[in-house]
This record gives sequence, C-alpha cells and structure tokens, in this order.
Amino acid sequence: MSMSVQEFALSHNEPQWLTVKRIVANDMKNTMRVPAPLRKFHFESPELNPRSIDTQNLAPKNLQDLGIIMMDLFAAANEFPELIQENLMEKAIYWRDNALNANHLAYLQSGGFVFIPKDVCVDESIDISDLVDHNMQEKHLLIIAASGSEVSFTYKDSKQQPKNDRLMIEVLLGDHANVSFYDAAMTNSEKSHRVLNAYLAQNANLKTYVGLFNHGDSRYYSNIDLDGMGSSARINLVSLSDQNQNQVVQTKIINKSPNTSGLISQRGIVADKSKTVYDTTGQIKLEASDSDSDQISRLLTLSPESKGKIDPILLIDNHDVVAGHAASVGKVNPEQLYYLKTRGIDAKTARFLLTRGFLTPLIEKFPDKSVQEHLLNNLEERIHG
Amino acid sequence: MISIDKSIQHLNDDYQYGFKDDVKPVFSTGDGLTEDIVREISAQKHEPEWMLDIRLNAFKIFQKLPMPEFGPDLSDLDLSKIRYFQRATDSVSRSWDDVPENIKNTFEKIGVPEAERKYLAGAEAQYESEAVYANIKKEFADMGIIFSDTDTALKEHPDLVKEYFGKLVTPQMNKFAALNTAVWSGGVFLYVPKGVHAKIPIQAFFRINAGRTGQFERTLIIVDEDASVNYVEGCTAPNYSEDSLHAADVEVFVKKNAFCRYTTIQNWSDNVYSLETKRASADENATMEWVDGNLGSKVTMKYPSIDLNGPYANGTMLSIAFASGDIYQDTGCIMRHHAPHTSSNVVSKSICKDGGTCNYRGTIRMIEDAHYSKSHIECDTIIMDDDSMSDTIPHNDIYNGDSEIEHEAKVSKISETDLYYLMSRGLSEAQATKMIIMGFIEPFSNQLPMEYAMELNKLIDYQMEDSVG
Repeated sequence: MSMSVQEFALSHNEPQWLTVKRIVANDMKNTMRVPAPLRKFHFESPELNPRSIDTQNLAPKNLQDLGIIMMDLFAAANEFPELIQENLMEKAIYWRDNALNANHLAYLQSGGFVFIPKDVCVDESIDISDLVDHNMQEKHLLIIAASGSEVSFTYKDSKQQPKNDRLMIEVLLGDHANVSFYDAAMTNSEKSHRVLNAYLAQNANLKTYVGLFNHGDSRYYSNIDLDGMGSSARINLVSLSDQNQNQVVQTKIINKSPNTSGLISQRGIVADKSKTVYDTTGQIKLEASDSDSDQISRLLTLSPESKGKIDPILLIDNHDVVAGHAASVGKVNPEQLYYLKTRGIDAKTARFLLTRGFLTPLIEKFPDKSVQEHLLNNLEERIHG
Repeated sequence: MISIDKSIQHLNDDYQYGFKDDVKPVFSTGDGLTEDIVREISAQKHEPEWMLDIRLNAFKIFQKLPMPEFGPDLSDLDLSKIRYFQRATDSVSRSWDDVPENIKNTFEKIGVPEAERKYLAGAEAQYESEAVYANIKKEFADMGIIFSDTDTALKEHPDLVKEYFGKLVTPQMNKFAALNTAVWSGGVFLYVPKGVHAKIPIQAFFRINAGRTGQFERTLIIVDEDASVNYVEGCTAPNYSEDSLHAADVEVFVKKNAFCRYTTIQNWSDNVYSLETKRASADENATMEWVDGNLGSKVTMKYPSIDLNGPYANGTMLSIAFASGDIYQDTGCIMRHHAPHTSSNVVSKSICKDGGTCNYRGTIRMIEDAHYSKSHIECDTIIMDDDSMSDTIPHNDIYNGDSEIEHEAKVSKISETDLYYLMSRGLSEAQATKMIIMGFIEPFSNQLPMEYAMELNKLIDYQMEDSVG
C-alpha cells in the first residue's frame, strides 16, 4: 500500500520544516523544467512505505569518540535541525534547479548524514555505504567536513538494487578541510543516476575517485564549486560499458575564486555495442585569477560497434590562468597487442591485459582492498568473459 | 576648423581601410526584405525560372527558421533595416580601364591591381553586391578554368551552376544560409577541369562600401578529378555607424584525387556582422583545406565544414581569430567523416584582448561506416587581459570503434618566462609581446601567399599597438 508524501513524513516522525519543504517541492515540481539530457532519468515517483528509523549515531565507537556523527538523515533532521535545514539540497545541490531535484526531495526515501568536527583527522577510510537503504529508489547523502578536518570516505553499491536507482551526494568542505571520496558504482539497476556535488570553502581540497561499473544505462553527474580562495578539486573517474549500455558522464569544476585549481581526469572502456559520453566542463570565472583548470579524457573502444563521444569544454573569463584539455578516443594500440602476442599470449588475453592496464592505476588508489578486487573482477568478467 | 579636420583625420586613422567612397548605387531595392524584393532581384538579373524557385523556397525557409540560439548576441542586428540588393555599376567590367574612377580608387587603396599585375592568376573584386571587375589570365582560360562572378556564370554556364548550386549549403542549414540563398548576388564561380593544376593562387576581394548593406555573395568552386587549385579571398569594409551584414555562402566540391585550398582573410570593420556558411565535400583521395583568418567584424559566426565522402579523403582546417575591443569571434569547424580511412586535422589559434571574445566551437563526427578514420584537433588561445574571454566548446563523436580522435586545447596568458627572456635581450615589453604573438600564429601565417602574410603582419601590428602584456 502506497502512502502520500505527507503520510510518509509523519510515519517516521520527521520535523515539520522538512515535511513542509517536501510538500512544497512536490507541488512545485510540475511547474519546473526537466532538462532534455535528464529526461531519461526522470523516474516515476517511488511507492512510499513506512520505514523504521534508527536514531542512533551509527559511527563506529572509535570515530564516535572523535565526535564524528553518522546518522540516518531523518533522525539527524530532528537532532541537528539548523545544520540540515541550511544545507540539505540548498547549497551543493539546489532542489529548485529542475523538476528532477524537486521530485527527489519530495520522495526522498532514505538518507544519511555525516558530520566531521573541526580539526578531526582519520587515517583509515570511513565506509558510509550502509547509511542508505540500497533497496530504495531515491537516496541521499549529506556530508559536512568542518574546517581543518581530514578524512576519506568509501561508498559502494550492493548487488540488490531497485529497477531505477538514484543517489545524490552533497559534500560541503569547510576551510582547510581535506576530503577524499571513493565511489564504486556497480548497480544492476536498469537505470542508474548518480550525482555528487560539492562546495569548497577557502583552501579546502577534495579528491573524488569514481569507478563507474554499472550494468544498466547510467548517468554520473558531478559539479564542484571552488568557492573559497586557494581551494582545489580533482575528479578521477574510470568507467566501463558493455553490451547495449548507454553511459553519460557529466563533470564540471567551476573556479570562482583566485588561486583555485581543478583537474578532471577520466578514462573509459567502451565494449560491444555500448556508448559512452564524456561531457566535461572547466569554467574559470572573472574573479578567479591565478587559477588553473585541466582535463584529460580518454576512451578506449574495444569493438567496431562501440561508440564514444567526448565534449571537453572550457569557459574562460580570466586571462591570468592556465587551462587546457586533452581528449582522445581510440582503439587498443595494435603494436602493444602484437608485442604481447609474440610473447605467446592469445589475442583475447592480451586485449584484456591492455584494457586492465588502462584502468588499474586509478582502481589501485581505492583504499579498500575488497572494493579493488570487486572492480577488477567485474572488469575481467565483462571483458575477458 | 583645424581641430575638426584633425579629428576627422583621427577617425579615419582608426581603421586602416576605413575610407569611404562616395558611390551612389545605380539600383537599390531599399530597406527590408519581402517576397517582392526577392522576385525583383531575380528579375533585375534576368535569371532563369529555376533560380527564382530556389530563391522563393529559401525565402520561405528563412522566414520560418529561428535566429541561432547559441554564441553571440544577435539582437542588435535589425534584418528589416538592411538593404538587400544594390548595384554599384551597370555592367560587370572586364578590363580595368572600364571600371568607374571612384570605385577604382577604392581598389587602388586596397591594392587589387598591383596584386593582379604581380603574380596573381586572376582577381575579382566584389563591390557591394556584384562583381565590378573580373579577369583571369589568358593561359588559365586556355586551360579551361572558368573564373567569373556567379551571376555571369549563371548566364554563361547555367548547366554547371544548376548541377552544383545549393547541393552542399542548403537553406535548411541555418537562417543565414537560407537568407543568402534567397537574395544572393555576386560571389565567385570557379571551375577547374579534370587534371588541370592552377599553379598560382586565384584571388578575389570583397568590400562593403555603403552602410546598412547586406552582402550576400555566393561562391561556388568545383575542382574536377585530379585537378588542383589555390583560391584566396580578402574582405574589408569602411567604418559606419550603422551595422552591415555579410552572410556569404560558400560551396566547394573537390572531386576524386583533387586538391583545393581556400584561404580567407576577413578584416571587416567593427560594424559588420559576418555570419557565413561554408561547406566543402571531398571525394575519394581528395584533399580540402580551409585556411581562415578572422581579424575584424563586430560578430563573426563561421564554422567551415568538410564532408569527407570518399575513402582516404583528407580535410584540414587552419584558422586564427583575433578579437580586440568589442569584437566577438565565434568560429570553429565541422568535420564529417562519412567514409573509411578518412583523416582530418584542425589547428585553431585565437588571441583576445581589450575585452574581445574568442570562442572555438567545433564538431568532429565519424559515422558507423567511417572505419579507420583519424582526426587531430588543436586549439590554443592567448587571453591578453582581464576584460577578454574565451570559451572552447568542442564535440567529438565517434560512432565506430576503429577510429581515433585526439584533441588538445590550451588557454593561457602570454608566458612570463618568454617575455622575461626576450626583454633580457633588450627588447621592450611591447616588442617582445608582439614577437610572441607572431610566433604563436606562425603555423597559420606561413601557409599564406606572401603578400597576404605581409598584410596579416601589418594588421596584427596595428591591432597590437599600445597593448602591453
């Protein structure tokens, strides 16, 4: 039995301001646009069913001692209303941007909230995969790293997924915060939509590592605002598509202040009849002097029927900058293939070794060994067969 | 009085070709555009019925199509205030002596006759809408090369024109391609027969003289099998307070094993909207090259394209754009790989200063059948000061897995290390800056015929004045 947005909100006892916001979003979504590229991912609203909420701090004991909070988003909305009210879909992802965002807020089913207090440093990577319920369609993560903190997060999808899957991640970094985010996207959903938007204050530093290994049609979107002076961001992404898969990766770093630096580095393998699109934008605003913006995008096509598309865009308003992009689409280097074959390796294995070598440098950066193995196994299964 | 004279002098100094001749057009259609005007233009030229049909069809499409929704703002361009057709002289003159004196003065100033006398194969000058002077050296005529203005070609070689006209640039492509097809006048027609090599460049010159004028030349170049040609054109206009429109359509057909290089230096004054549609096709083993310099105009939107239709066809685009002041250069190129083993090469250099905007907007597309194709794209931009902007918007689509695209772009200011080095050798900052800029565009300028390279140097020199780092 399905519930209305209001009934759902009441069922898990969320604060009134959030319920009101959701109802407003639900009412307003019909007046909003759905941008053309997003139309395919404008899912039907999910069925809402009552869920029990764990109101505890879910962080492991050692992290709790450092003051770190990891909670269900709805429980956190009661506990830290000012933090959530100010930041949830207001800063990094804005709910009024399009009908899709508004619908996501209205029908938000499961969410997680992470708060890293000032100057807290954690060496090992924090696994935040279980903060959201992977069976749900509309999922959300809100991460706030206060000034001076230094942490890294790992998120990985579980095997069971709904038909349509959407995860929106907001990362907010205070002054001098230093965050790494490892994201292993490996859903079996028919359609999968992942968003990671970030907002950086002065001298903050964000690195994201993304392994995009979904099986269905997928879209990865990331928009990073370098708002504070001296902030910097790196997006490192590897992707794999095969069969009839359709994959779109849209990444954007905006340099808004002086001395900021953005680098987008992406590599993808396109096999069988699949298609991969890299739509990459580096934007330097007029105020952002002494900044740099760089992009490297490479696609490796494995079959004559594979399709690749790269749109590396630079929008430069300031002259005191260095900006560039390099993009290439191409097949496996025949000389390298030939070399491996002369060493007695059959063509299929040689091809697999070369594609594996193409992605491994990034996959090896994942701190969690099991995630690394999982990604590499997935690659082997799909390419080597 | 003296001070007024001086200020007039100063105004004229602003733009090298900013002199304006007092030529009253013999015939003008007046402001704005209606179907009657399209009919009138066609009737004035005594055109065959099929051409009128093409014009009227294009006019209908022109009315339906929207203005371009990307790039520069065209809202100041008032299409109802443009004079769509005017004729400066009654007949197209064949011999230089017959050209009216004041029109001749203009060409003396821009150097057409000298150029012709020196070593150019044939020069054609388009003044407002129609060619006033067209000639080609006798030896080329003997080889069978047809070089005339398009109106004359329509009279003398109607079959050739009918076979190729509008086959590449169709009115559906964009609003201004449709407008040109409806009201086209003048332009160059060049036919190089099978196996003929025109060893010396063939040259044309275009000039807008009156304000609020639309110049819609239609250029049609056909290079038959195993032939080759090098075609060069230049464009200027005087300063006017009202805006002028230049919407040219250019079609180039390069047949099997043929070669064509099309060189343009566009130096319109800063009141000209230059909205051009250029498209070439290259058959098996043919080579097509666009060499494209954009130095002036108010707004330029120009994306020359090449359809690589035959196996092993090759397309090259070499361009520079220089935007200073309020100039908005939105240029780029489109390469459509339609056959296997085709290759393309794009080199684009842009410089913007004093608030200018230079954008690169390009597309490389390789369809399913274009196996084993290759493309290399390089876009470099120098932004010289804080007021200037540059966007790079490339699209690289590969619809098969056997082809390769490499794309590189760089946007930066003038390297401080280079500047420091040159200044340590005793050059002033201005000299050093100029030298770096000249070096930056060298891959382009050394592809130009000598006198064009010199003119380019002069123009850059002039644009770089008072600009320091």
